[in-house]
Amino acid sequence: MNRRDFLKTTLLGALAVGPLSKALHASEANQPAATLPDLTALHGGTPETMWQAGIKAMGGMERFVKKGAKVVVKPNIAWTLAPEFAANTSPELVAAIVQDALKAGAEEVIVFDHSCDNGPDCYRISGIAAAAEKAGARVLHANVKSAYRQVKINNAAAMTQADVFAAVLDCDTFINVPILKHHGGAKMSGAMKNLMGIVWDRRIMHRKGLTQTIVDLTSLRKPDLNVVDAYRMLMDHGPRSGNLKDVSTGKFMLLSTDPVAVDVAAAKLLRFNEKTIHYLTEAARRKLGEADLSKLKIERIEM
Amino acid sequence: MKIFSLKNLCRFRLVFSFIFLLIFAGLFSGLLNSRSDMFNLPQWQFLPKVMSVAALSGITTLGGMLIIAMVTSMFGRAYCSWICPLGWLQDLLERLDRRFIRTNRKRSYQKSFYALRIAFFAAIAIWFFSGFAVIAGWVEPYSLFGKISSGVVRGAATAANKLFGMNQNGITAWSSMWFYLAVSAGFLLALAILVWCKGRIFCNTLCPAGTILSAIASRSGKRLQINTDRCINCGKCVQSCNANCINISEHRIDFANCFMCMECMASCPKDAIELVRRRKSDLVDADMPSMAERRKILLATGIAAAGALAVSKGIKKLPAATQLSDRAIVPPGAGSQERFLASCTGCGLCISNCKGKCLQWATNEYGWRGFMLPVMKFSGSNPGKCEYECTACNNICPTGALIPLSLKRKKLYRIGLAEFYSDLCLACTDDYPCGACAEHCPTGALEMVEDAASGVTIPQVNTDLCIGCGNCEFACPVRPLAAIRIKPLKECNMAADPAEHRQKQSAKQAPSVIPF
Repeated sequence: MNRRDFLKTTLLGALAVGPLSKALHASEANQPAATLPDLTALHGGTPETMWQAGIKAMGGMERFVKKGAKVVVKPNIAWTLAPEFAANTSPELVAAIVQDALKAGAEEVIVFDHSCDNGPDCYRISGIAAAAEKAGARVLHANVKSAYRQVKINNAAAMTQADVFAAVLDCDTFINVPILKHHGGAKMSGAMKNLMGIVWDRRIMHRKGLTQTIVDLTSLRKPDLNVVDAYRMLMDHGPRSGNLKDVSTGKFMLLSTDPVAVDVAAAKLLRFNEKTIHYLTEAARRKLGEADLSKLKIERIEM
Repeated sequence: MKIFSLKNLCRFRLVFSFIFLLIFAGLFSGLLNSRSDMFNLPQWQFLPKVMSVAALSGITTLGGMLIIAMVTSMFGRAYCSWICPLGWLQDLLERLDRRFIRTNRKRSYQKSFYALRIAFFAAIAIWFFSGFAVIAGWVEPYSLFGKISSGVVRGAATAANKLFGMNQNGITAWSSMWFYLAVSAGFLLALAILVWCKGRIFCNTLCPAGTILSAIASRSGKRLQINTDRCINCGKCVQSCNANCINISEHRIDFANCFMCMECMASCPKDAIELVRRRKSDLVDADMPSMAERRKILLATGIAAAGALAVSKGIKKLPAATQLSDRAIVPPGAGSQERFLASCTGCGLCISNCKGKCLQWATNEYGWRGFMLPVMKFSGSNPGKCEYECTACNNICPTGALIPLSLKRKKLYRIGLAEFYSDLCLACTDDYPCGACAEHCPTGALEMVEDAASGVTIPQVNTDLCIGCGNCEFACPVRPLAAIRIKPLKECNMAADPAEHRQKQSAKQAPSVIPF
C-alpha cells in the first residue's frame, strides 16, 4: 500500500464512519422502540409508583415530551367529589405526570377539564388543582367559552365540527389521564370518553349519539399518551355515583399510545365484554386503534 | 387642623360608605360572588333583619339589626348615610346634578310629609304581614338597590365584557336580561326623578327603614344643634345638607330626618354646629307635627291601613291571584311556596350568588305576587342547575325567606321531584340510551334501567332519593322541553340519605390480577 492509497482509504474510512456511526447510533435509539410495549398494564402499586414503573416501561417521559414542548395533561375533574369516590382522576397521579413532564424539559404543563359540576368547586374538591399547581402546572379554568376554538373534524360520522379547548389544539404533547369508571350512558368511561371534557358543548354529543361523537372526537386529536387510572375503580352507578359502595380498589394502571387498545384493556378490568361497548367497536372499525389485544405487545408489571 | 376631628368625619363617611356601595354593588350584581364568604355584610342591613324577626326566622343573626338600632338611639340615623347603599346612590345622583346639570341649584329646608309617610308605612306593613312581601321589596332600600344593581350594574358589566371581549370572568347576562334591565332601569329612573325634585325625599317619606329609624332618632341621646351665639346665618349648612333637614330661619335641625352625614359641620365657617346631648324640650320641638296635624296623620294612617287590609283580603278572595303555582320551584331553604312568597323581598342576592346559575328572576311563575322574586330554572332559554355542593342561596339570604342549611341538610332538602316523559326521551324516540340525566344525578335517584317490554334502557326515578336539584333536566339534551323535568313541591320536605338508602356493596368488584 503506498501513501496515496493509505490516505484514500483512511479518508474514505473517515467519511464512512461518520454516517455509519450515526446510523449505528440511530439503530441503537430505535432498537428499544421496536421492542417497546404497545400497552403496559400495572397492578399492585400506588398511583405514583405504578406511573413511575409504567412510563419507564413505555420508554421514558423523554419519548413523549421534547425539550421546550407545550404539554397538556387532561385528567377527569368532572365532579365535586373527593378522590376516594373514584369519580375524578387521582391527584397524586396528575402531580407525578406534571413533575416528570417538567423534568423532561417541558416549557409549560397545562392541566384542565371542562367539569360537569361547578368548575372551580370540582378543581378544589377533587384535590387536583392544588396537587397540579404544587407540581408546577398551570391549571386553566375551562368554564368560559372564550377558551375554546371552533374546528372542523374531518371524516366525522356525526360531529363535523366542535368547539375544542384551545390549549389542546395548540400543544405539542397531549397526555390523556382518565379514571376508569362505569358509565350509565356509554357503559364505560375511560380514555376515549374522557375526551368529552375538551369540548364546550357536551349536550350536543348526547343529542347526536355518544357512540359516533366519541369516535369523531378521538379522531380529531389523538392523545400522545393515555394513562388510565384504575387505582380506585367505580364499578357501578357511574360516572358520578358519590357512593363508596360502588368503589373498588383494584390498584391497576394502563399506559398506551393507542386509545382504543387501552380502552379494550380497561373494559376487561371493569369485567365488560369490550364488544358490547359500541364506541370501541366503532373506533376499531374506523381504524383509530387496535381492539384485538392478541395482536399487541403487552408488558405486564406486578408490583 | 386635626385629622380625627368631628368636622372631618364627613370625609371618612364618603370613603366608608363608598366602600360599602362597591361591595354591595359587587355582591348584588354577582361580580363578587366567588368570594361571598368574605363579605357577610348583607347580615348588617336593618330592614331585612326586622323582617326576618317578623317572619320568626333568622333569629340567630339579629346582631346587625340590634347594633344599628342602638347606634341610631345614640347618634341618630347614621345608617342612612354611612351604610345604606341606596342612600349613597341618591347622594351620588344629587351630586352629579349639582355638579354638571343644575350647578346653581339651591337646597332648602324640606318639612317631612308625616301623614303620607306614616300612612304609607302602615300600608306596607299590613301587606307584609298579610303575605305580600313582594311590595315591601319594591320600597325597602336594600332590595331596591339589589334590583337596580342586579340589572343595571350586571347589564353594564355584561355589555363591557361583550364590547372589550374580556370574557375571562365569565360575566354573562341573566336570562331575559333585557326585560330585567328595563325594570331595574325603571326603578333607577324613578329614584332619579325623586332626587331631581326633592333630594333624598325617598328616605324621609317612603323608605320603611327610614321611618322606623326616624322614630328612634327623634329620641336619640346626642344630636346636632346650631349654636345661635356663633351662627352668622350664612346658610352654607343648608346648602351642604343631604337630608334638607336644616331650618336656618329657626336655627333648628330636624334630627329625626338627619342622616349624620356631617356635611353641615364641615361647611360651617364658625363651627356653630355642635354634637350635644338631647334636651328634654327637644321632644316637642317645632319639627314634630302639631296636634292638628297629628289628627290628620291618624286619619290618613287609618284610611291607608284599612285600604291595604281590604285590598289584601280582596286579592286573597280572587282564586287566581294567590293560588300557589305549579310551575315555580322555590330555592332550597324556602320551606314552602306560601312561606317564601310571604317573606322574600326579592333583593336578588341569592340570584347573583347562585353557583349553578339556576336561580333567576321570576316573571309570572309564582303569579303576580312573585314578580321579580327568585325562582329555579333548569331548562328554557338560559338554564342552570342546583349545585350539589353549594348552600350559597340559603346562607346569604338576609331576610330569612331562605333558612340557612348545612351542606349535609341541603343535600337532602327536597324542592321538587323529577318526572320522566318517555314520549320525548331519546331512548324511546331514537332507540338510543343517552343516559345524560342519570349521569348527572348527584343523589343516585336516577338509574338507567332496561324496560322489560321494549328492551330499551330508560331512566327510572327513585322518589325516595330525588331532591329536585334539576341536574337531570339541565343535562337532558332534548330541547326546548326536556324529557325529564322537575315538578315543583308546594311544601318542601326531606329525601332519604343516599349513603344509608343503599345497603349493599356493588355486586361487581375489581379483578385481583391483570385479566388479559
